[in-house]
Amino acid sequence: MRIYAIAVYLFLYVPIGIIVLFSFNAGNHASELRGLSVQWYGKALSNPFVGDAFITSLVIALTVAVLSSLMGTAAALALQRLKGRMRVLFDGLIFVSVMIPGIVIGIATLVALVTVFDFLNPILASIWPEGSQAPKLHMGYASVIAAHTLFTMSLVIIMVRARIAGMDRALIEASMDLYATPWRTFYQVTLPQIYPAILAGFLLSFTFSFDDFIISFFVAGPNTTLPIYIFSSIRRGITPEVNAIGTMVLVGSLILLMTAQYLMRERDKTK
Amino acid sequence: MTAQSKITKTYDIEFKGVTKRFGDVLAVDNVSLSVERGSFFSFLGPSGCGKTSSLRLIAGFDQPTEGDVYIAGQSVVGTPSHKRPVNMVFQQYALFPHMNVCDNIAYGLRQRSPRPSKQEILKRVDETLEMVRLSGYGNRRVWELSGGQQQRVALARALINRPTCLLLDEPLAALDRKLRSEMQMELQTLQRDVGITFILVTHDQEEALSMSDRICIMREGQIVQLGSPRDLYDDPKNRYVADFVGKTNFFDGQVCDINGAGVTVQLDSGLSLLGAAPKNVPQLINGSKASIAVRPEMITIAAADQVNSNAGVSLPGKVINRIFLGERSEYLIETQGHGEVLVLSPKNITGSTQSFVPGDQVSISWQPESALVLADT
Amino acid sequence: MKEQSKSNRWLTAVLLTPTGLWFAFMLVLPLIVILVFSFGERAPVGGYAGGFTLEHYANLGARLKAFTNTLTYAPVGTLLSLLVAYPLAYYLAIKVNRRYKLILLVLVIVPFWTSLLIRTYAWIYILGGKGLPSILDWIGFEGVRLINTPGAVLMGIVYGYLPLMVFPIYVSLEKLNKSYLEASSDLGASPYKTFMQVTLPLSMPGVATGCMLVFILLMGEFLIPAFLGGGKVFFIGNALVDLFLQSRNWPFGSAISITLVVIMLITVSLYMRMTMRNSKTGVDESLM
Repeated sequence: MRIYAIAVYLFLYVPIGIIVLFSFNAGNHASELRGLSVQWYGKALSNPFVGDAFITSLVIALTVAVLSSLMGTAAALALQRLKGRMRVLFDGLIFVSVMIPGIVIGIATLVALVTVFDFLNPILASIWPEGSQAPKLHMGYASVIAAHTLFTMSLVIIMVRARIAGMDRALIEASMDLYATPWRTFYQVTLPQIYPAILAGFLLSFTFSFDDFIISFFVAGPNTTLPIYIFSSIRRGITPEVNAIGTMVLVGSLILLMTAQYLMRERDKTK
Repeated sequence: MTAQSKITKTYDIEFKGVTKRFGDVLAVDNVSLSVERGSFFSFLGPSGCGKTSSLRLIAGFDQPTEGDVYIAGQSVVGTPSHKRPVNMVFQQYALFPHMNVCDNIAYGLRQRSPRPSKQEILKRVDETLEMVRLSGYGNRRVWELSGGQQQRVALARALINRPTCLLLDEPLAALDRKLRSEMQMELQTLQRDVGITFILVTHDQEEALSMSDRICIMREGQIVQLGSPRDLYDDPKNRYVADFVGKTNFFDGQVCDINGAGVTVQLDSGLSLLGAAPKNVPQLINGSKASIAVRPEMITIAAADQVNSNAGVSLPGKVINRIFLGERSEYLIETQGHGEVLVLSPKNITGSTQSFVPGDQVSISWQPESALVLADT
Repeated sequence: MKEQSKSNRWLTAVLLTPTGLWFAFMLVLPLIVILVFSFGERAPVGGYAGGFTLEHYANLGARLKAFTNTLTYAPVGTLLSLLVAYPLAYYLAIKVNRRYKLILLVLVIVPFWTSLLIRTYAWIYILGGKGLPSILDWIGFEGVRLINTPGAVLMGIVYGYLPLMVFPIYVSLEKLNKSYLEASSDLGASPYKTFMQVTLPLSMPGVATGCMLVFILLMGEFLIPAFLGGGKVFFIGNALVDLFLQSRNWPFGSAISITLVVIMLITVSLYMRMTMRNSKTGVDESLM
């Protein structure tokens, strides 16, 4: 059993180790190790495309995470008191949005937005005052954020809802019984109880958005996110620069994950 | 001031024709009752009898479908729970897991506006901790406490607010037997000390009998009988109450004669037995189904060959089990044609001749006055 | 009382509005648009022109291989992941020393939180000509081809989605009361029987959740076949990328997308109904 476990861990980590190892490659060829150096880190960091792609991904992922946790939490709280046909409708939409493949979301969003923009842009141009440049709607940050948020928002709803369901209903009643108004009950009792789920949802949303390739690939328009950049460099031919970027992303996520874990443990000593 | 309001003044809680429906389920069915100020009142019944629903109507977690609930003479229908001057001790305590003991107890005070000063809150928390014998535990996390300690924190959290009435929802159910009887004593003492009305919900008859001034026995949303523990024990209104409060032997049959001496019941076995009719119970008529109820301690037991000629009723039987309980013994007697009968026999001071072992042929007897004739419902 | 419930309803509406709008504009509208497109004509330069035709649906056979590939690799990949994941989850939940449990668990989850793109890319190295094959060459197995084979794709799948499978199974095994196992053993069941009759049935909710998550993701997979399958093993996802970005046949791509969504709705609903019936707890939403 233990040997099996070790084998699985090797299986999980050897590839990651190889990426890290080759990121220190002194040579130019990705697949041949010729001495060690950090030159590719320097190259990656000084490459403006990499920097831009990183910033783009970061901005998008942060926005997605904030939007999803806010809207997802709000919706989860509202859904818990909603009954009847609206409830069924929302449950259905949540189910579909989680289940539908990212690639279909990407395609459908692309097609729909292009159609809507093609329809709206001439109208905008015609009603815009003469002399000034009419704004032109196009794919970009907003479309990526919107498409990512569709999925991550539903994830947050599911996570927060599970936490609400697991919460002792008597806690809310106890708070009401002890003279707290519904609003005070919410932020003194409910919020601290569901907070871990919201934080987990935030992190998951961020990671999903930051790592997503396929949706962004369709709806990012002229913008390049980090995964798109990595994908196209792999397509162009592999250089150790990709390994250096990959290693930095790995280390970055690790730090983020550990910080989050630490924060959670500090705050959530409730279980 | 009208006579009406003078009467209501002495009651902390009143129900007037209260009905609560959850969809098709009738949880509380046209209940009217009053709880005297400063008394210890219990709702007793099996699960689903409407006792917890009644408590939740007082707390304000649910609103009655029909009827009025009064707290200290004021109708509270429509008042949300956070505006009601009552506090509850929850079944699983519902202590806030993200707060320490101190913050849990101070919670109610902190919701008040104007909010008491920090010193005031701290002072009252300390006083209350002392009252429930938890001084020094203020900074503990609630899950570090034992069940009994959590129970006391829950009590403190409610009592610190000096409510008109304290509601207790099966507060002792989660404790072990020894702790439970300790807490029963403690609750009673506490209630006398603070002088607040306590309303307890329980399915444990022993708990209700030992602590309460008055008990309300419920079934299917309705009150079956309301009275002091003594009333309920000595004068149960029907078979349900007698069965629920204490142990009772029942002999089923039909009423065949009612006269000044009592009620005669013809048992299914053919034997006719005389018994006393309970007070104020009109539903016994000739031919109606009824049971003769005899408390185990009212029955005397003797060797088969020593039948006491004074005994009003005596039945032969065989000892099938004996449980030694220290100061008394409990016998299970198999009678001929009348099923098994439980007999509680005090320790005989004069000697050990009265002791029987399984297999002994015995005769059991009781006086007709100590047997009650009870309707089935 | 009435006023309160009115303001409550307002609050509910306000809280739900953003989400509702999002669903309307980012889910319902796009799905309607591709549904309409799937019945339209292809414009001469690519893209879409109005019209009504069923030819794209009739023509689905042209991409049959993508469908059959997806519909074989997704279940097979799911099953393989399960087979690899279950023993590990069992080891972590039941066998391992408490002290190392957390760290070992974190080690399983960490890859899940890092980019699938980069992790998959690593296998291009390992399976590529200068990786494992060259070692095999050196041992004596000459000319072994690993990359761009069905095996490479399946391995990529197991590698990529293992954490997602291990975690839910671990959670359901961890929740399992150890005294059940002791009771079973006490009642004379052998370890094997205990596993088959107690452990496995009680861990089914986790298995069901894990399988569903992996299956859903595999149905829309693009990266793994693109990197490790070369042009040989391709999924619906790869066909869609090709249709939308290379040949710009939007109506046909829309028809394929709609078909994929319908297939998934049917299989996932059936699957959920099946698992719900089999185990009382069914798919555990909290595990996501």
